Amino acid sequence: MRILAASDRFAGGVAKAAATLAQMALVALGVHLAADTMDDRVLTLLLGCQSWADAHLTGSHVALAEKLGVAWDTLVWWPSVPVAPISAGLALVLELVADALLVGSFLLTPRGTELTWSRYRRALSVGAIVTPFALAGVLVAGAWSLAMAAEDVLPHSVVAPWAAGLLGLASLVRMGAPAWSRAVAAMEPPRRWTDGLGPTLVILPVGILAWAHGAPVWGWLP
Amino acid sequence: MKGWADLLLCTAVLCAAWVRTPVGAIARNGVAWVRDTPTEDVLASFRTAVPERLERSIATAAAAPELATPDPLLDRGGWTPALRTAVGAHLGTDAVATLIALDAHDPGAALELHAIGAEARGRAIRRARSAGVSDAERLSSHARYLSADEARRAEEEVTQVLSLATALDLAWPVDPEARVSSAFGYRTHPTLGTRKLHEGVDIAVPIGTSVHAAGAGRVARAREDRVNGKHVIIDHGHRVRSAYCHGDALHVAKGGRVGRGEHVMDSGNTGRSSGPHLHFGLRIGGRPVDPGPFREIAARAVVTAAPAGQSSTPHSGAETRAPTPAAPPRGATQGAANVPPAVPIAVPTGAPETPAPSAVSTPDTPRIEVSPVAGAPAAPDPAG
Repeated sequence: MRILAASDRFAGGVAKAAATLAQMALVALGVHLAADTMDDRVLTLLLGCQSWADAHLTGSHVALAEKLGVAWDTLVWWPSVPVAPISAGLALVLELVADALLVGSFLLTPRGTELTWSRYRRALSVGAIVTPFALAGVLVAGAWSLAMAAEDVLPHSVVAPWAAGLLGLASLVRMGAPAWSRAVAAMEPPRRWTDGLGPTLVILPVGILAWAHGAPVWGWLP
Repeated sequence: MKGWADLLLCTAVLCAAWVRTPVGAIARNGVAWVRDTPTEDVLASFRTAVPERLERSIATAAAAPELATPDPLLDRGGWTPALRTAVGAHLGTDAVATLIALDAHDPGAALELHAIGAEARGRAIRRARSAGVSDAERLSSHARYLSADEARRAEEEVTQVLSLATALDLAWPVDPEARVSSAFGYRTHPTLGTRKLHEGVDIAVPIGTSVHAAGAGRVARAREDRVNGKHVIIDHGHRVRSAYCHGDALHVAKGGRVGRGEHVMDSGNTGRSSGPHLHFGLRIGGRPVDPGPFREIAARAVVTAAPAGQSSTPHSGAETRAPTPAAPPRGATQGAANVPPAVPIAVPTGAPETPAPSAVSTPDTPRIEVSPVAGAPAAPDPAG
């Protein structure tokens, strides 16, 4: 029994050391689920822009090229723009920036900082509202993404979805909740209410997409 | 055992992120760089870049003696001759019967089941429903809940086969006997003197000739501009669009639905054109493809389906292909079963040097290059 207890303590120690890394991984999983949807949206947007340019600019630019005596395709460049890799690239950049911002929101906070309502109320600003919302969505999406990954590798059975769901829920409780608490407890009283507006432009869409497409809670509502 | 449980949890999260996220891909590339092994594409974590295998499938379908024989039972379930031929060309002849056995009433579902299996599809649909996604049965609705690899496989088979089937079902917009005065493909531009891609075919027809919709669809564009003249673009669904340019009069409006064979335009000589002709373009998944092989297929379908002594109509297979009374045994795939090896056709393979001159293009619409009918004076040089 003593050996078992010692091994458990050892495993717990390793887990504790790796906890921050695992929290970062959970955020990465959630952000990617949102970014994948973002990729679809950005691709649709770029295709729309290309269509618009075709409808409104191609004719006039071809005529302008004729007047200038240059090859028409020096002015009409949009038809050959490869939109799919661009949208995936933009989604990737957004994902990496969101990863950094959301991980940074709890990574730089010392553990054990007390989370209280009065402390949070003093810290209210745009960033203080959006960051907890987005981070919560991303962590839920990350937990669900983990459950999906687990279900994909588990042998098909009635138990598999439950086991995978339990794993996701456990990751949310054991890793997501502490990360979220640390991020909120880290909020400092702002100089202006607009503090955190810049990062908000990145993490708000990620948070919304994470809640909308990565959180199965909507499926449980009537 | 709490320590072990926490360690298991940490390991599971780290493994999932390692395998499933771009951050994991970057980390894997770092390891590969250190170990001097091949790196991978980080963007492959996203689902948008699905490789197209259509060129070979179009060639295979074009080389087939005819479309699969119509079967009322299968047709009602959506397994049209065009779809069965497309499956045979894209996935191999053996796949046709297998797919019909998987789902005789929903070809899209059968294709996805064939690509990734029932378990993965069921999981994705369940997950999509959990997330509150409406119409979760559709691949586009639940694809993001598949793993990246499964999603790519499903998109590649389902989307590309349905695209090919839609294109195979198109008819020729005018009399198939009308002469093609300028074919699809790279050619030396008559005035620029450089190699350019002609992204459609020019068909020599007199002004006023009725131009018919190659297939049913929605009118994505019906207007006039100085390049294409009066032109119509029809979206047939499944990423297939056809374009008809240099018309004399338009008979449809943007946003309207048209039936297959419907009179959409009178041909003419408007826009940057110096001789009466119809420019007919076809795009699949935003890429221009040669309509030529599809004319061959449509013409063969007319020959096999039309009653003896009846000649083909200008818009070919529209009326003559579908109603064939003789129903072969269920699951018959004669057309696809005799698919010979692929033959090369005029689909451009190299990267285009530049877009075509006097082009109208959108990601999904055909880019239209104007060329005069044979013997007519050259079109004005857009480069001056």
